[in-house]
Formats: sequence, structure tokens, C-alpha cells
Amino acid sequence: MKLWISVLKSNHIPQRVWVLSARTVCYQNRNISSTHTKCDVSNRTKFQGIHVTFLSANKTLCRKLSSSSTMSFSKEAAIQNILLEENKRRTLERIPKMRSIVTNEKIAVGAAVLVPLCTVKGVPSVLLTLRSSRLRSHRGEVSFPGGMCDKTDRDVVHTALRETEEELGIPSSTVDVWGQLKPIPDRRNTMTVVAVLGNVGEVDPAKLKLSPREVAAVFPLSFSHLLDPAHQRYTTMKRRHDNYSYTMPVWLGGPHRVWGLTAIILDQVLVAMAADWYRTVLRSSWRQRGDVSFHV
Amino acid sequence: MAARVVAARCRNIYGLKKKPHGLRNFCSSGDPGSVPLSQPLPSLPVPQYATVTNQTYDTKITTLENGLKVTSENKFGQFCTVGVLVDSGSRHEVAFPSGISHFLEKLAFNSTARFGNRDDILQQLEKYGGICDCQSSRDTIMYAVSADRKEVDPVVSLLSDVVLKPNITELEIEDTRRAIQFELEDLNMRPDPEPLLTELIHSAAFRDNTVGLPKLCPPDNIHQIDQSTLFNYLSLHYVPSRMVLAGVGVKHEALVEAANKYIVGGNASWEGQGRYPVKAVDESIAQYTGGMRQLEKDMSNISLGPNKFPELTHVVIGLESCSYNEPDFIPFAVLNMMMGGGGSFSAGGPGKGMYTRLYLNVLNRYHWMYNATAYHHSYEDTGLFCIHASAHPTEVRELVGVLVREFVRMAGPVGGVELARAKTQLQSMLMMNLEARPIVFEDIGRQVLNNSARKTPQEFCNMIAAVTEEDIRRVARRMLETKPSVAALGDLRQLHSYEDIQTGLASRDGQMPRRFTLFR
Repeated sequence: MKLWISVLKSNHIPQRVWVLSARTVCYQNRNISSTHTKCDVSNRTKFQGIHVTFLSANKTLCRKLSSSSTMSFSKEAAIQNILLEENKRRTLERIPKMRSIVTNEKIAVGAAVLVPLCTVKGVPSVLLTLRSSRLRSHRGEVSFPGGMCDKTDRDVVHTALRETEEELGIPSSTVDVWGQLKPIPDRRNTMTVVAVLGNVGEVDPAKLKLSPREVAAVFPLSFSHLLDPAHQRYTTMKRRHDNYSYTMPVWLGGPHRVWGLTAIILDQVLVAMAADWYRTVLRSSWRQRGDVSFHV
Repeated sequence: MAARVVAARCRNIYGLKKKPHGLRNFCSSGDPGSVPLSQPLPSLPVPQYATVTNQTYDTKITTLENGLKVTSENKFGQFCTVGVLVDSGSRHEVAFPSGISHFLEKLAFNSTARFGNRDDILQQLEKYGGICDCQSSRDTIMYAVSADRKEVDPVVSLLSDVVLKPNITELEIEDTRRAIQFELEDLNMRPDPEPLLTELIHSAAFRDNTVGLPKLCPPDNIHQIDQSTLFNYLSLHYVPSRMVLAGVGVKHEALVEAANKYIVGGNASWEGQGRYPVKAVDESIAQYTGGMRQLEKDMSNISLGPNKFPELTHVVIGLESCSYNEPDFIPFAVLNMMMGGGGSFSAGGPGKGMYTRLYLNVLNRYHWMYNATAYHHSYEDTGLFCIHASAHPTEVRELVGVLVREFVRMAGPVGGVELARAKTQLQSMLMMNLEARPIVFEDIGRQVLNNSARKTPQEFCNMIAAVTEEDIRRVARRMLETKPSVAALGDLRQLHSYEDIQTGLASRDGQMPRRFTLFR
């Protein structure tokens, strides 16, 4: 397994080091930091003077590392603590450092959704809705509660909370808003959607008062389900007219398949909240005529 | 009657009274109606009738150590069919220029390490009374040889050469380019645009991904594909873990032994050619998106001969169904059989489906409908149920209204007789098709490739018999909740907008939204 590493030496000049395997990294670092004896995939782990970032995704590496026995305990522990103050602080620190997906800077924010972080019978989960088939756009698809920004809304957080109250009956006062992710463009690149992270506490999905005109069903997906590689798939699309290719995540195994913009939002949420255990699947590239290769 | 006259004449001529002996007893005296059918004819040998034996051959599956699966089913007959199926098709081409599978299909059975050209291969096969063929679909490519059943060993050796060691010379690629260009021109000129419509509806239903990628090589890509692109693709996809060697009419041990001898070990012709740009197989899952694709085309003068062919606009409306791994696949198949349909000029008759809904409710009622057929395409992770109809451009509004109503009625009550008829038709179609050796070959090959196990036809018949009216209504409701896909070809001025079709399919009675137009 080969990894690119950006090595920040003490004088802060980044140098690229071509390393032959993850193990070698560990051995190199052992002299410097004796407390870390295994290779940590975390972005935030700082060896003394060396900040290790993985620039190229290697899914097998992540799966292999995360499935080895020394790691599984800490993954489950991390998931149990994912909604606690410590992780909330880390998430809010991580969000500004995440890469923005917007390619066209001129488009404005048009809609906001709430990503309802909750616990269902004590299990940390995310709440998702199935849109009613009576709606005109995106009927029958899985999405987060939210909607278009109204002129009367104070800000995007207000939009998200207002729509959540209308659709799911969760009062705005009970939502502990963590923050917002960076805007994500919609498919036609005409507007962006802002995802607001909010903790709604313990929830019983059966007892929520749904608005039947907008929401057909509501279901939770636990973080352990979302972070299980067996449920994570991807789809690479290739536009016909200009050979622009992009990869989007898909989650299987739940009551409904999660795809499209909702899956992109979920992907960014997991990168923000569980970067140690999740590698983003989003990728895109242009393929020139005659050039066969592109990054998958 | 004539015998009587002859006998009478004989008696008159010779004055003899002919003694009728055994056989003539029956035919010359008395009329033919008096011949008893309950007694055997006296001087003929006693017939020995064939008895139905309980001999069924099982499908045997072996996985070799390099990942190749070998499967076979013995069958009575002088010939056998042996072939290789590879998990590779147009759905895996996202990182490549689309059309590679089209090229590979045309380039099959050309020059290899051992054979100089296609003629050599065909001459070699002639010795075994064999024929060969290659067929590619959106998710599988199949190389098959049918030959005398005693020649399994040389056939497997030939197959391994053809699949793993093709030369793919520049000359062959040039020939293939010309053949593909010709095929594309021919498709555009045909009165029956079936392949074009299949491409369009897949492209509409699975926008830009996996199964929606074009199966026919787009004209722009014909000159982009060359030997290194093809070898890159082959190096990723033609690996033993993605292949199945299937045989029908052969003994399993002989096939496994031949596989170990010729396919395990050995180098493919694309190995050792340096590093290829694309390094990973695309494992995308198919994403049903729905949507509309329109192709405006002047179909008023497409007849190639002196007789005018009627000008038609073709519309395909489709909805998401399910993959063939899901239990709902069988009710969808029964629903497809129940809808049936075909061309309005079909002669009809038993087995043609003339009592299916699309015939009774659509083709028999609307004289302007030229054909209406239901199709069900099913893949490993998704499926598409569509109805294709064609009519004159002025009738397109009515046509879409009729199709939408038929779709919505699928979730309505189902008659007991029509359900029983559909189930019986499906079972008999399954069993009758599986009497043919090449179809058994394809069946066991595909099943083992996708599921590593084979469900026998009896199991399928039992599953079909267990389908109830509630199953049909449930799968129809499930289908109607998904986003529609629409493909249209021809003169499209009267076609509804996509939103109208979506509203119509979501309505309770299948009525299209009313739009008042002054111009018709």
C-alpha cells in the first residue's frame, strides 16, 4: 500500500514523502512519539512535528485498518460518544477545514435542511424522512427535513428549524444546533443547500407527528450502520456531453436506499463528525478526449 | 375403395376367388371405417414405446483455486455447449470510453496466440462439428462453442485461447471500426427501432451511470478505442474470479480437468505490457434516477423499399422494478406476462399472448395503436419495467394517456383467470425454453456468475405458482411510487411534458392533467 504523506517539519515547509507502507510510517514515527504504536488514520493526530494527512484515499487501507482487532473497540467507543460535547467541539473545529464542494461561486443559498442527530433507544443515529408521493419534486425519495429559504426567515438555521417543526413536529426549542456545513450545490448547479447539524435528543420515530402532505415516513439510521463498510457503496456517473465524471455515495441496508444530494450531505456529515472512521467518496474529474485515465 | 375395385377386377379377370389374407382382410373387405383401432396390425412388429424416466441431471459447481467457477449439467444428446461468461459489460465502462464491450463482441474469435485468424478457428471447429458465438449485454459477455460432446478438451483449449490470449491487431480493430459504423448506420435506418429505444429508455432511467451507459458504441468513440484501451479494460475485468466456465452435455470431471489444464496458470496476452492508466474495477451500484430522453427524428420516409412504411412515433414509459435477487422479481415477471402485448399485426394464436391486457385493453380497442409491448429488464442491483407503444404522431397525446391508465390499473384488481393464465404461460415458457441446450447453458452460466448457485426450473415454477393477486398489486404499487422514465423517438410535437406524465402516474385513476390547447 502506498500513501502520499505531506510532512510538515518543524520549520513548516511541507515536503512530500513517498512511503511504501503504513507500517513504515509507524516505524518512522516511533522515534518521535513513543506513545503511538499503531498507525492512526486520524487527521488530527499530531506526531511531534509531523502532521500526517492522507491525500489520496485508499479504501482498502481504511477497511483493513479499521477492521483489525485493536481498532474495533475504539470505533465502537467513538460511535457511542459521537453525540457528546467532546465530539461536538471537534466537529465544529473540523468543519471550516473541510474542502468546499461548490464549483460556481456565484450561486446563492436557496434551501436549508436539518440533519437531526438523535438517539433512538440510546443508539446514536441520524433521522431521515421519506418524501410524500404527493409532492411535485423528488417524490418518494429519501431526504432530510428542510426546504426552500423563505424571505421571512432570519437565517438558514431558522429555515431548517422551521421546516423540521412543520414536517416532523419537533419544536425548534428542543433542538441543540451545533453548526452548519459548508454549502453543497444541487445537481443543476443553480443553488446551494446548507445542512444544519442539530441534536434533537432521544426520539421515538413512531411517536413523531408527521405532516402527511410532505412526509410519508421517518426512519433512523444508526451511526454504526452508516459507518459499516458493508453498507457503503458508490456510483460513478459520467455525463454524456462533456465526459465529466463524478462519484457519489450510496447507503444500503436500511429501510430505504439513501442516494443523491441526501447522500452527499450525509457523507459530509460523517467526514465532519467521524473522520477517523470514514473516508469521503466524493470525487470528480474531467476526462479529456483521448485521455483514458481518471481518478476513481 | 380402390382396393375393392382392384380385387373385384382380379376376380373377374382370372375367374379366381381371391382368398383375403391377414392384412387385406382389413382394407379390402368392407369400408375403411371398420378397421378396429384397438387391435394391433397382425404382421407388424410389436412397438416399444419410450418411457418417462426420472433421470434428471444436476447442475454441478466447482470453484477452482484461482477463483474461476466451473459449472456443468449433463444432458442427453450428441452435442455439447461449452462457454465462458465474464462479469463485464457496458455497465463497467465508466472510466473508459463507452463502446469497449461492443468492440470486444465484434473482435471475439479472431487471431490469438495459437490461431492466425478467424478462419483457422472455424476450420479447427469444423473438425468437431462446432460453431462459435459471442454475445455481450449490459452486464455480461458470453463466449460459447457448441461442438460434438466427445471433444470437450480441445474446445476448452480453444476457448481459453480466445478469451485470454487474443492478439487484437490493428487490422482487426480497423475492421471492427468499419463493422460498428455500418451497424450504427443500419440501426438508424431501420423501420423497427427496438435497439435504439432500449438504449434511450436505459439512458433515461439510469442517467449517466452503470446500466444507463450506452451499450452501442457512440460514434465519437469509435476512433478513440485502440489496442491499449482494450487491453487495459481486459486486464481489469477478464480475471478468473470474474469468470465462469459453463458446459451443458458434458461430464463435470472432464470439464474441471480441462479447465485446470488450459485456464489455470498461463499468461494472458495483456499481461506484461507495462502500466495501464485505469487501475481499478468500477464497483458502482446502479442508480435509478428516472427522467426523459427525447430524440426528434423524421420517420416519415424510412422505408427502404417501394412500399411506404407508416410514420410512427415511439414512446416508452418505464418505472423502477427490482433486481433478480429479490423475492419480488417473480411477481414482476408474472406482471410482465400478464401485460404481454406485441404488434397489432401479429397473427395471434396460442402462446402469443392474445388475451394479455395490452392486447385486450389497448391493441384491440384503439385501432391507431401499432404496437404496445411490456418489457422487464432486471439486473443485479436494479430493474426496469417499461411499456413501449407506437402510433402516428397525431395520436401521441392519446397514446400516452392510454399507457398511463394501463400503468395505474396494474395496481387495481386482478382477475383470477388472467392471473392463472399469466402464471401458466410463464411456467410453460420457462420449461419450453429450457429444453434447448444453448439456453440451458446461458441459464446455468448466468446464475452461477451472479449468485454462485443455480435455482432449478422446478424451484422457479414453484415460486411462480405461489404468486397471488396481492403480490401483483403490491409490486405494482411499489413500482408506481418511483419516478417515471420516458423515452420518445420520432415526431414529438404532441408529447406531454415530463411533469404531466409524472402527475398522471401519481393520480388515483391514471387521468392525465387536462391541458387546453388551441392547436392540435
